Amino acid sequence: MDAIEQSDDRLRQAMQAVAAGNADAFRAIAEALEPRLERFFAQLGVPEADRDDVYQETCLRLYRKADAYNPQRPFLPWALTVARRVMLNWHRARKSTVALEEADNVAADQRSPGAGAEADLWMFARTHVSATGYELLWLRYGEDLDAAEIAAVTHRTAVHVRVLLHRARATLAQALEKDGKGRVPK
Amino acid sequence: MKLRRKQSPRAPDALGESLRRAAPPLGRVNPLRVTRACTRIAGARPAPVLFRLHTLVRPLARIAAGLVLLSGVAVLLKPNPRETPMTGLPHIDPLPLLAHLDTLVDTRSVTGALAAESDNLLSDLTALTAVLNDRSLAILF
Repeated sequence: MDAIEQSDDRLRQAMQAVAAGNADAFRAIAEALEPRLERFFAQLGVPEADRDDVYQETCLRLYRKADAYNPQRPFLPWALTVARRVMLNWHRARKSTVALEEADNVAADQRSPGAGAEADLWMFARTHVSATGYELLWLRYGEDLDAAEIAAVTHRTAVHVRVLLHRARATLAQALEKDGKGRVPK
Repeated sequence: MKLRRKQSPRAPDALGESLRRAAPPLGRVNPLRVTRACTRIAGARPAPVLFRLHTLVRPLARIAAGLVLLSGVAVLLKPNPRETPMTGLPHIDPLPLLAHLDTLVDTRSVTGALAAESDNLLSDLTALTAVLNDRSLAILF
């Protein structure tokens, strides 16, 4: 269990204080969320150069929506919901073309299928599972959210989330079997 | 009858555990980034009133739904007047007769207007017949 889960109550209280008008209380929230969101954005394809902007925009949204937060609900799924929306907006706003001199950098960021199978299971999953499946796998096993919380974050039903997770796991297991690494015991 | 696939005893989620273990650990807090975010928030103006209205939408919707429900219940509970027993035949007014129409309209003025209209129609028909005859004869000869 990480620090943000242990201090969820503290973060709820901080968010209530922010909603009451105490802007300084937001610093504790920003500190608790920074490493979590850094990892979240990194896993879901936001380049390092843009993570600062996305993080700041997320913090601003959280601050402005403080009065909409329901303290009866856990804080992290709500924060991840806002962060995910900001990230999706960033993905939409991102230009699909780049200048020619930046093309080498972009190519270096591209994933190479199969190359990271031994090194990183998540990298392997990223290359063999759909983007939606990868996101759900990350929310389930990377962020340790349950199906209902993932459903709230991704605006799906819990049953739909379970079905998509099952498919993603099956796809990943098949890919691992084909890869012949024997990583996952049956 | 629905056939159900026989399910094996639930195996531990080995793949899930592998994914959990392989997840990269959380890094350390970047204080500069946090400070930048807090500075930006401090400079941010409070959200405009229009952006805060969404918080009122749900309570207002609940109040409106409650009112609709109450009015529906009131309509259902209102006694139906047709259910009251009839003591006798209802009194129905007799239909007005056309014979009494002349009491409502001035017949002299109506007669004059109708006669003038009839004259106009007659003269129009006469003129139309004359024109048609002329055109027809022009075509023939």
